[in-house]
Amino acid sequence: MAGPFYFAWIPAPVAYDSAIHAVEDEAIISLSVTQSEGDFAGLQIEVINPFYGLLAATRHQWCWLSWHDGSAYHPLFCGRLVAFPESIDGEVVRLLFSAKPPGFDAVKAAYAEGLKVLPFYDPVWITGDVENPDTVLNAYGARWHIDRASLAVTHSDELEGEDGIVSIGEADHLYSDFAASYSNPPLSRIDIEGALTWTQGGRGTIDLTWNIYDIFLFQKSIYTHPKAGVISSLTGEGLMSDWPKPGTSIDGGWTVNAATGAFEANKSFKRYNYHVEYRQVNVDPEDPERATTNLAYYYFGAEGDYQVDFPVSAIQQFTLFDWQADRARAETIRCSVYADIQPLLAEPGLDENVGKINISAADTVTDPGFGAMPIGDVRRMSYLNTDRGNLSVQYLMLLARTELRRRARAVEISCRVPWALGITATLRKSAHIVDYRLPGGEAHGKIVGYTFSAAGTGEIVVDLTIGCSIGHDGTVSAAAGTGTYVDPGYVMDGYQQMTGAEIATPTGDIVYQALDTFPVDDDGTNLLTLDERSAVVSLTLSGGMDTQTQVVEAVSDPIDALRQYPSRVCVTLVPVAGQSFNTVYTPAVQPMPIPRWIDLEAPAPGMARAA
Amino acid sequence: MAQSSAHLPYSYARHLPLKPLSTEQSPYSWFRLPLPADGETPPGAICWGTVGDMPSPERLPGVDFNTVERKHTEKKRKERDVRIENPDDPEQYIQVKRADQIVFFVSELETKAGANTSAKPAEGIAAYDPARIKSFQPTGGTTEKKGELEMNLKNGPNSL
Repeated sequence: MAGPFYFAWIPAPVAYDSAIHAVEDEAIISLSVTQSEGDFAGLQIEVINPFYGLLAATRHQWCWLSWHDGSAYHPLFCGRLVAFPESIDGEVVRLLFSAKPPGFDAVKAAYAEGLKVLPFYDPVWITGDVENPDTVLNAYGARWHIDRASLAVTHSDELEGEDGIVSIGEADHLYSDFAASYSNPPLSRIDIEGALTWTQGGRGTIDLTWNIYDIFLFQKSIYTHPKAGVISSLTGEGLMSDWPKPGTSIDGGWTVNAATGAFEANKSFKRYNYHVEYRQVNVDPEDPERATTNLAYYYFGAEGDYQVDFPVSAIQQFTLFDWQADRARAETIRCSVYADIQPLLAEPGLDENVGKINISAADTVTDPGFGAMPIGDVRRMSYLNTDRGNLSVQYLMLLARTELRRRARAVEISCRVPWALGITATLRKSAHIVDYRLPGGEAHGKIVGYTFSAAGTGEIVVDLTIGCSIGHDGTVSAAAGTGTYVDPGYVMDGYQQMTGAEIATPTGDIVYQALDTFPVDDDGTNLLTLDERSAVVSLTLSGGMDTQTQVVEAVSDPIDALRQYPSRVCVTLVPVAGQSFNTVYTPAVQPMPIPRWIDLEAPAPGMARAA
Repeated sequence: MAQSSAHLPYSYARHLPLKPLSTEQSPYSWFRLPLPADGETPPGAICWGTVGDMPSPERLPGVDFNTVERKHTEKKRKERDVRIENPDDPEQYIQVKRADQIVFFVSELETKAGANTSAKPAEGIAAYDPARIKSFQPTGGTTEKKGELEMNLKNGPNSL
């Protein structure tokens, strides 16, 4: 073994074993390992031209690159040959390798499945290909990370490394190879507009049998047996024959139920006639108007005494209506999320400093294809103000958070550090660097790129690039609000109606006004509790028994009079179809704290920070 | 104040002269609910109920002493031949059959509650005022009460 760099051809990725992989299968002239955020690490090596085809089927195409520090081996890179020769320069050829794990797409997709967790992943808002694993990270504020040695696929936050901090002291980086630059200007705020459209549905049946029985009873139906539902009328024949027919649509989402009908009650109900005797002018069939035109006829020959027996019908009725709701619902959430950042090129009113998230989706909240239907019950009048809907709101907030944090990483610091220190860097780590030239004398940030370089000339160095966010630090907290329903502690959380309550996202850095207090555009029809009481706008009866018997007693031609007072039932039910509603929520959002990884507002050494 | 029939609310205005004008303005007119015009029925609304078949009036019966309607049908009789002669000329005679006993089938129609109606009255009738309560009359049918009537006739000799 010579070393300190070793290169081994391997048939496939395996765990590093120095006993096997600390070999020099190729004579390396120089090497460079590079990786930037979200990408695969790449290895470029220059070797003495082997003069044979490295892509031959019998040859291994994977490699292990390792380094020995005099006491231990450090696996640096495992990857697959992707280009050979990339360049031929004299007797030297350049090989390119990529640390792309086998079956990367499947591995990433499998990993992404584990990230599909509310509120960071909400299919309610995701239109198009919901299987695309890259959409999973949209609300996490993270990038894919593929380890250059283990090839493990993970994700890593854009501002804070998960695997620790590389500390770079004043003496750990070269004075001349140090630079600070500014990337895109940060965003001062994100305007969010999310719109969901869906159809409020549901179906059911209401039974008005007893409502109708009651209203007939109120007008002195003679049959009062409480369980029978039998009604009575002097015009029962017409009432029964005109009873609503099953299957008849009455619009508004209502249809007469199949069990509806009116029949002659059984014989256990004693039958009656309503007997009326009256005196009437005899109508001369030859001259019907004779009684009014011929005074002699009227006074001396026109009157007669009559009787009539009106049958009192006993009607067994069943009156049910089916409803099927079909109401267009639109819910829109409009809000702005402000980033609490140092004013680097961030004029709040400038359009280029304002991001926008406009997202809309149709019929996703009622889609049962997401495991559980997001809205839970299609009869609900609103979605975003439910517990599940709140997670959809948080998803939008987290999208804004991602963008604000990404753009808040506005300062990039590049430095060159010793090899031994530098090769500990990964893109899952942060770095802390001290340099008196920096405002505040130091900076902290996420490692967003690195290059390990080694050449036969003896120069082996690592260049690091660190992304620093320019926030003010700080925290936010959600107000619990004031209970307005019952005294505090009387009921469990969730039952109390709170005023002024705020909600924090799981990340803890976004707090917004709860949506409970926003009115829902609605007509007051609650389909969840729709029953024979709430569904009936009006139920009237004209020509009940009380009226009919008074009429036939009071007039001189009871038959003709009764023709004008038939028992007639009118029902008006709340419409449950054909309407459209649009609810807009405009919650207030607290300014989002951003880490202060570099202090662009730092006072000069020895001076106090400006207020 | 007189009022022409053109102003009267009901089609049975021809009967106006039977009652004072004050009672002709029916207090029940406000009970009527106007039917929605065609095409104006709001969604979810439905009305039903028509007049249907109406009974026909009958003349009230006048004075009638037949309180019970009976029907007699001859069942059998005992009879004998009787010779009726011309008192002045016995050769002139006719021979007739004289009944000594006649037995009739007698059927009597009775009105009573129908066999299929309950004996228990409808409770709701009690909510009416006494005048109207009287107007509720149980329906029923006529039943035929059957029997026999034997008539024994006291007659004279077999020949006159």
